[in-house]
Amino acid sequence: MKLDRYFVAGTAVAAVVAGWSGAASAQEVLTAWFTKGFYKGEDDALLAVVDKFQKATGVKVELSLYATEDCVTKSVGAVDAGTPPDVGFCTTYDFRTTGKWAYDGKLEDVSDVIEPLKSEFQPMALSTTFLMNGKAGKKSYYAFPVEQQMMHITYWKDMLEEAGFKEADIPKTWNGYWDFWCDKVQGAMRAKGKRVYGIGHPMGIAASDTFYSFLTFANAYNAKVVDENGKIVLDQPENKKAMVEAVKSYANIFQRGCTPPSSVNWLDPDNNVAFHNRTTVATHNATISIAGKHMDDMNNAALTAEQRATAKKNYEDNIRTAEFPLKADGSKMTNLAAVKTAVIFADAKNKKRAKEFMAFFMKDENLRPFVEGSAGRWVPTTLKGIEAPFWSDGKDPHRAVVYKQYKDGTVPFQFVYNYNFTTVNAENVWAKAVNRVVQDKIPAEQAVDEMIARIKQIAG
Amino acid sequence: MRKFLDEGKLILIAIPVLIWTLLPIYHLFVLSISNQESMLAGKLWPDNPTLQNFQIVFNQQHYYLHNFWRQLFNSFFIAVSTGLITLFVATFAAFAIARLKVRGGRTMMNLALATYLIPAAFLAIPMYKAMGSYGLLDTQASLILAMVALASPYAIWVLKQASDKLPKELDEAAVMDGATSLQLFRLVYLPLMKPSMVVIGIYALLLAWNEYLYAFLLLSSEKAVPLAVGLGLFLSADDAPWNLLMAAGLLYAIPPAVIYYGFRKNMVGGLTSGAVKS
Repeated sequence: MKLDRYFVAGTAVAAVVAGWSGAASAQEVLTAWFTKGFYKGEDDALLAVVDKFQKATGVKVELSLYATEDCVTKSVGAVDAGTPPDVGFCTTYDFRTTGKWAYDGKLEDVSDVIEPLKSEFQPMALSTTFLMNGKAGKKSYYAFPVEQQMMHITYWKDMLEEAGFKEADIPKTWNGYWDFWCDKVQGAMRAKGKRVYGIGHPMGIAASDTFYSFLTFANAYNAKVVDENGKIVLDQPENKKAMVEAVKSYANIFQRGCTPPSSVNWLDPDNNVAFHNRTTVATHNATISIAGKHMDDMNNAALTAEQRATAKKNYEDNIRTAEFPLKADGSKMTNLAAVKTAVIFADAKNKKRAKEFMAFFMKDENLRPFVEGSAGRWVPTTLKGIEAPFWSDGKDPHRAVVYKQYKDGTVPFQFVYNYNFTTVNAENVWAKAVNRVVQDKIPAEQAVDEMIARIKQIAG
Repeated sequence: MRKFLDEGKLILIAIPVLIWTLLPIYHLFVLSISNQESMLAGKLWPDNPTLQNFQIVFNQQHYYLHNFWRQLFNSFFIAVSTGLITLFVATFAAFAIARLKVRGGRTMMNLALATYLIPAAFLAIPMYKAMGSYGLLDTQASLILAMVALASPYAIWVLKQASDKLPKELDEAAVMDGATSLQLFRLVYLPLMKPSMVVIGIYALLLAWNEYLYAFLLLSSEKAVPLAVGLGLFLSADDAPWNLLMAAGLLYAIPPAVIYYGFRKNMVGGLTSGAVKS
């Protein structure tokens, strides 16, 4: 009798839950999770693509937009739970998960979508999506190269002039460049009684800016960490020597007092903050978001006319975006680029439609407005996209520099060749080595030995 | 003299603690009344304090604030629902365990309490999976149910402890007068449990109001998420408009503060009512 009662109660609960959940099963559905754009234009472009796709196919796209960190955290949870969306595009997948998911067989092979489009992409950007699947034992295309980011230098032109220099005075050589900001500009500002630092130099272990910046320095010294098969080559004498020089160069800026002492604890927004409040004259950053903030403000109807005018002056005249100087050996700098990847999950419920959607989304007429909607924060991965007037007409002072950097050539991160480097970066082995030198005062050679040992433990 | 010295020591401890506690709130407030230029200047007080940020928030004039009022309503709805359902579950459970002495009641309560041995964050993915199996993902019901599940064990325990303090004779007298269990619950038990119920309702409400992890995991649509998750969007870029985030954050902090101070007498009385056995 009691059992009967439990059975009836259980059935009733199940019926309620089933009724609660069973509403939306009539129309075919595609689930997509994206990082929410910083600008309305970015999301509007995405919603327009979704709308067009829905009308063309009759499939309902359930699109969810998340904050950057939430997006990847939620995706990881959903993949682990076996309930991922059909399509995922979070702007930190590349740094955190794409390589590992591909290796673990969590991603759908999308070669059939990519192959017909191959010629449209920048080869380097495309190469970052050709990943190893440990289960299948082969490399294939497991992601879509949607957009990318690069490192840039940003400086206050008016502060440079206040220090008594012109832009033409900025050296092009590696050491000369940093010495200029460090000694000449900072020195001149200090002589005027201003407590200003020449460079906002990210040193914090918890900041992704630090490893992005440091790896740019390593690149400037031609310190190769892995080969294209993912094998660690940092322990080879020439690479190790180059890495020691990179560590010395990076640490040197802090040791000479050219960056705020607090930069050892900086998180990602802090170099932006120090720049905006004019504590630093120059900084390096992984998008043109610093200048972009002033563009936001100059177009923000909620601000006063005076505030908008100040922002416009800053964006158009006072703030400059610049390339990195020449490499230490005098050759042209190639820019480290992080390609933002969209994926279709192996456990997705509607893989067929997901591929159709991504093929549709990656068409130039759909992808370009989405990338351009970010107002320059993200750079195209397609050859047509970068040649669009938005980038190539030279009218915007900041985007014109990004265009030039793109043309100078880009190189990928190590995690493209060996996914374990996502862990190396998350642990920020690079920043730890630099901090061992500046805080624990150990020689750079020893710090690099420790760095190599740890990298081998993680990724060897 | 000795009393004066003792109080002096206490004040010496209290002042740094007070500063330490209030400093982040002060920082929140200062940023919320700072304009674009002065918000990053690192000053103790802005040169030109402004309410412009609140105006932008109220009028939803920033892209990340387009759903501000909707998300604030969601926060209220989820928090109030969680509070009410938790109260419903916990009051009945405590009554059954403490007054009706249902067989296995104490074991059930202890089992429920044992779930607190596992941090709530570790349960997030299993909860997500369970909600997915029930087809409840991206419904506010999923978040409310999850919050009720997290709040209920503690709520049952506190109410059960408070129930134990009520004289048994009251129940016996009511039964002698012919009261049924439900009448006993409604006419005797509930009126006497009011202070404890207020505190438990507020506890569950604030738990849901402040929740972030479960909210962003279980809900997806921008129009369904509570304000806590909506404000998380500001962290999408390294150049967030901090002054707007702080203004919105300050507004979000007001309702729980009002609730707490409005019911603080009940809070203290209710929390301590089950603390010791008489």
